[in-house]
Amino acid sequence: MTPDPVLLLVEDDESDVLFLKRAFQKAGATFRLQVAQTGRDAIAYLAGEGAYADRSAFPAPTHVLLDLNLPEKPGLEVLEWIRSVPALSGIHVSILTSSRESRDLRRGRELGAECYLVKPMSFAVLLDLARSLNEWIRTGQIPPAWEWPAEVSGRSTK
Amino acid sequence: MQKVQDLNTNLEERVTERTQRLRSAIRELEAFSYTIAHDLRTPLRAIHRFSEILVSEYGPRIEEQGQHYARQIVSGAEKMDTLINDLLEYSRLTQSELHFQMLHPEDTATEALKGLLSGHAGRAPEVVIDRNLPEVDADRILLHQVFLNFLSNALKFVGKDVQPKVRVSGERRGAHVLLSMSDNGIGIPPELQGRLFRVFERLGDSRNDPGTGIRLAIVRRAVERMEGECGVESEVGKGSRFWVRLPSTVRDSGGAS
Repeated sequence: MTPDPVLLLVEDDESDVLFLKRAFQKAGATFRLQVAQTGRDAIAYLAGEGAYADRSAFPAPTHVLLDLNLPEKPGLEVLEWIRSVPALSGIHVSILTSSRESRDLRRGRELGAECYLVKPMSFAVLLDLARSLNEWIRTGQIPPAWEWPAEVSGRSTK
Repeated sequence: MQKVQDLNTNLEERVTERTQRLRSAIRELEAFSYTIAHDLRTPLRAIHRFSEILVSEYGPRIEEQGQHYARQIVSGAEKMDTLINDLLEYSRLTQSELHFQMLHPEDTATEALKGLLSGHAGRAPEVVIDRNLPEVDADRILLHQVFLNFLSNALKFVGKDVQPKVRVSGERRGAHVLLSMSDNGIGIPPELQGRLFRVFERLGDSRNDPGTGIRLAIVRRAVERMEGECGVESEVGKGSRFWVRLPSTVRDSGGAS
């Protein structure tokens, strides 16, 4: 039996969290959304330690949506940690960041993120992103447009 | 005699030390502007999205004038996003690693043009890119930036109802290649031509395009990093010819930074 899908959103900016929650709600998301606001919290949550020990209140995530620019521990270190834990090998990690730097993209790929999404300016575009993500989680098929690109384009995010 | 020698050695040491200090100050400043630009994006996204939601979901409950204001906030945020992107592009150009290779300028120009035409509003432009231009020894991403920014300006700054016409040509000049982009745009007054390639320089108030000042600075920085030169000849009302001179010979790889 596959577990119910749980998405752990790792994001420190409160309005970004608010917009994503709203977008997932409008997209009719069928998974459970949990939020960790720092890199350290994300690791504690995933490990089920400390405040996150109760798995009925904090179910183990099947997917992680990871910001890169995080307090305490940067997103890429969180990713590196996740990939070093055998028990978490089945977890799907996507990066969602405002960085379009090719070095972030390259490191994200090397460390085993499945896709790299750039935070859109517009809520309408964010809603599309939420719908695609919901489809991915529901069907297990990664949207073709989210396969790794050769490089992140410098412009165009409306 | 010994004294003079000491002074000389001393002087050289001081020059080296100051140069190093200056370099690290520049690097710090570049990292600073990069961080600022990134951090500016987060609150800007909130401004954009909140006002967008205001328009789309609360629009009917707001008076016409209020809706208009909310839309102004959205478009202001979009302009600022463009500016931040240009700033980041500029700072990225100063930091990126370069990979020099022999390139056909017409291929790079054609590729840059393709991206521009898809988003072009207004009369369909006539762009002629000469074939068989002499090869240049350049970095592909930087050369792409050069064409992208020149061509984008050429398509944008034309008189009302005028079909933009641009020609990209080139010729060999000794160990260099001189590439030219001629347009039929509004032209640039002589007193502005010298300031054209500096960062953040705004030319006149009538241009409702916040990015212009940075874009030509991007070109200059890109060209300088490829050990070339650039410039402009222009006459108001008659169009402009932007030129770039780049090395045409293969150099030691990994070279200039």
